Amino acid sequence: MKISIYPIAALAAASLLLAGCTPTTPSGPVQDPAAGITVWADSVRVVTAQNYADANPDANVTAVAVDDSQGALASRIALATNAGDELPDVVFLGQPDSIATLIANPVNFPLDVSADADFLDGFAEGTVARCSLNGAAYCVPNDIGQTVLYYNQTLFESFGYEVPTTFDEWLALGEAVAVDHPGFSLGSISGRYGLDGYYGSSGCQYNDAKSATDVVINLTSDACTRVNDVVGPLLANGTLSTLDPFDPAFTQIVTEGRLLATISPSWMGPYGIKPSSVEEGNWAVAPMPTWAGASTNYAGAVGGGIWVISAQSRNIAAAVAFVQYATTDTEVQIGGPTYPADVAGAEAWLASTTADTWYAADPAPALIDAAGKISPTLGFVRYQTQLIDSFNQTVIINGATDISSAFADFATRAVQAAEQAGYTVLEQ
Amino acid sequence: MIRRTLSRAGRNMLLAGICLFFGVPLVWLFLAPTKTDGALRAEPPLSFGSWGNIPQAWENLLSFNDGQIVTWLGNSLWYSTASVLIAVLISVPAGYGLAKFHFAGRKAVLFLTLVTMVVPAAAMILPLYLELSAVGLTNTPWAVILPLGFYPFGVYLVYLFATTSIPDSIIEAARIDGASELRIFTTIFLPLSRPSTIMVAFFAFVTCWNAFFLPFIMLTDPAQATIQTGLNLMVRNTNALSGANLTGLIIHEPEVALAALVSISPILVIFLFAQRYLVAGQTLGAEKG
Amino acid sequence: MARRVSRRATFGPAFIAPYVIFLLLFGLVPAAYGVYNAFIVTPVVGDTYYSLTKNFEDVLGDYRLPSATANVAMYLAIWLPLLLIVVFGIALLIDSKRSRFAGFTRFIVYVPGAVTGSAAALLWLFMFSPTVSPISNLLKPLAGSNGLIISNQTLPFVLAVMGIAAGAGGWVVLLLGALSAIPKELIDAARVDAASTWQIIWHVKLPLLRRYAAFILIVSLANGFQVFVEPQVLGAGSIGQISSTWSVNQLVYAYASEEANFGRASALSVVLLAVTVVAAIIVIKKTNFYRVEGH
Repeated sequence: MKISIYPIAALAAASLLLAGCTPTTPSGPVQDPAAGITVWADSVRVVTAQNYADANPDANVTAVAVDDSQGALASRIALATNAGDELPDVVFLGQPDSIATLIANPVNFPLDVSADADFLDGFAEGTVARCSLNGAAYCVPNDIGQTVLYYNQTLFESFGYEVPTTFDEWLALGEAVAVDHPGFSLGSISGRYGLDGYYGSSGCQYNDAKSATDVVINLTSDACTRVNDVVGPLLANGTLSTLDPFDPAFTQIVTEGRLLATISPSWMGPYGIKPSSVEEGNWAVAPMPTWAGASTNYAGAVGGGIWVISAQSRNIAAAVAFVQYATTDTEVQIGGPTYPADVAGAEAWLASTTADTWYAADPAPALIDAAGKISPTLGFVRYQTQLIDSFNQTVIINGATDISSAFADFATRAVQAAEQAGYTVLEQ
Repeated sequence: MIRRTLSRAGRNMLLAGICLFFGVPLVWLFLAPTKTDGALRAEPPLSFGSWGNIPQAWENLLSFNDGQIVTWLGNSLWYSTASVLIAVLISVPAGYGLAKFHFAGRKAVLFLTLVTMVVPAAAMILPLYLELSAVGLTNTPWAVILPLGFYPFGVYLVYLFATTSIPDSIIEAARIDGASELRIFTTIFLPLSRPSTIMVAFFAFVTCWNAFFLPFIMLTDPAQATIQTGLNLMVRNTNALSGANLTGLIIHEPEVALAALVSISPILVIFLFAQRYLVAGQTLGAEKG
Repeated sequence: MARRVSRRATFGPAFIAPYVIFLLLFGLVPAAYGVYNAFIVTPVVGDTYYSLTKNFEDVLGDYRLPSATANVAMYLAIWLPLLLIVVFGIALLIDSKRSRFAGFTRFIVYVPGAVTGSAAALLWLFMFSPTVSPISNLLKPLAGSNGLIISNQTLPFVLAVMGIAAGAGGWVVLLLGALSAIPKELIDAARVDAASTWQIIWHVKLPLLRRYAAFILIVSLANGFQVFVEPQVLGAGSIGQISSTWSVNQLVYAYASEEANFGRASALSVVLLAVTVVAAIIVIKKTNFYRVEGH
């Protein structure tokens, strides 16, 4: 590779010219039905993209494996937008909150698919609405992490406990466990698992985005205080853990057989509990308990990847076709590691879960029940990381001693975070 | 005599204590790939597993993107070597020029060099990306090699060595003898400053090898990744350190530990070889004749 | 004579010319553009516009900044003095009598600093998790009630230990190189005068390391103000136990990556840079850093 003097000179000139550059807002490009598309995805879904590319050589699909951890993709796309570089046509977000950054200035990346994608009706209820703002659907859901109640049926039977159907019963269970069987755990509430699993499922509003600039934050409602009433005592008596579920200290609890039950996302069983608790026939799944005063047993959600199509794509039709394949093709769904958002795909996927002998009983009914009941108050916002941080700094650290003031602390920071991120905070 | 023995024992105890503090993490890192994932948590931390686990862990690492870890190592080697060559070729003369000559702007260059060393990297992301994108070099190795060839720390190393350990009188003597500046540089300065030149090369290599930010934003394609960005990609995608591993690949902590060892071994090997040269021999003598 | 003087005057710049090109291209121009960027505001909706103060207002009014600043101040207060003592102590100790053991120690001291990124996250994850750590006996007294080592009180110390383990090695190598260049005659002459080891260090070795000490101080101050890697790595290893914007530089990074707001990232960087440069100037002035012999 020759080093020519011209790039160096050009660099110098360009640097001087850059000083006068102002970023411009892009408009939709001319469509070219023959143009190829580029797909950025994580290691798991890039395989899907590669298979599609191999099966459709005329579509000219390039699949690139990327690091899609929080912030990484958004900043890459923002840089490329700023520099006027080639953008990917389709992007997979394993952490779906990033979409909030992609929607806003200066990135303006996602395409509104509500008109193009007639297959959106086939997804579990609420999943498309979650990444829609003002009627525009900015993503296509790939899989969901709906929270359910995982419990060790063997232990429940030997201890003589009933599986809770309400959170009042969950609280009672925790209090009984602390007295009768100290050292046993009812799971972790660190970070997302606590915030979205407990507060989110209750309908406590901390990231209920109504538009790119409006969000509802109401942390004094009954939906929030009823969670405090459960979480506070259970943190105080030690049945709820403040450790991350994958922290070595927590997995040790699971390995030693001291995890009794946990409110966890659907993927936690095979990927979080099973590796540490391999013995078969112990674990079962029950539907989410209902919060006191609520009519539906809404679920929270942790994780759940989404596909986003670029509004700058020169071949939107091809991009949509690929995304439709990735999210609804039965073979792809069956081969996926986590619960598909597509209802028909989920049914096919569940066959292997039902057949899995690791479970003590068929988990499918509980999983299906929760899939369509993800709380509508959960939205995607630009300050999600700040929310998790604040939650960990307040409720997790101080919740055992004084849950009310810890949560009030969290409430203050949540509002500050939202305003810092450019949102107007609405009361309802 | 007793005092000397005591002070020698005291010295050695201090050295041993230092070795423990800095060495325990390394020992743990060496032992980790010999154990399986479960054993790593269940067995005592500094226990030895079995030799057979190491090749197994390596095979597991190779299962990611068809052995791409080897490509990453090769990329790191190529980018770092090229950057180091550039860095040494421009930094050593620059340090010499700043230390032994007096011209307008000398202090300014020194000060500006220091300033660029302390500018937060995050502020430079966008401008560097724009610069390199404007000439179409993003997503090519040059986007990493060229900026890393700029090594202000190296300039300072040479400057410090030249001002502290190389007296002006030696240079003056050569000038009086009528030698050209280039000759003085190559035949007098370079041999005397060999330790600092080698130090510049070594530290530059380490900086390039360990660089993360720059290759992360400049290179999207995993096939071009360095060992640092590649490892990050692998760990993030498999959630090997914390989280659910949805890839189905057997990449857990022992594998990451093995990858870590592999990624630091070139630096350690080079350090072992360079140790000899990092200490100076005779510096004076030329002046006395 | 005049010919030689003019030859010298042109040769100085000749030696530094290639470097100055790189300095401009990859140092000053990006830095200047970075500063310029601090005045470009990208609101969430609406057009981009220029403003002298908006980004700075937003950044200085960020609710996370006060605690981040306090964290950095505390980190610096603990880490910097300890680092200098450790670095000089180890270097002088190894230098005082060159033995195999001393050489081996120099190697060992260097290793932790060579471990970066995900590898470092793995290392510290296990180092600081009481159930699996090799130093768990040392850690157990520090553990909190929920079994976590790392609480807001212990965080600065934990990070300082990480920072020293990782940062000492390079400086030790540098100082040993400098110490080795001290002419043996000087040391021997001092010994003849019956100077003790400590007196030799204080009166012979340290003064000759004046410039190195100043350089290490300036760079370490900058590294301290801009501490990023240690809290970032700790956050990657010990999830949820440290805020992702614990330090000011992490806040800068959060603006750039999560919010894609390069204007704010640049504004806060400018503030950080100003603080660092002021500190650097103070050190330079106090140690006559740029004074060259004869001028």
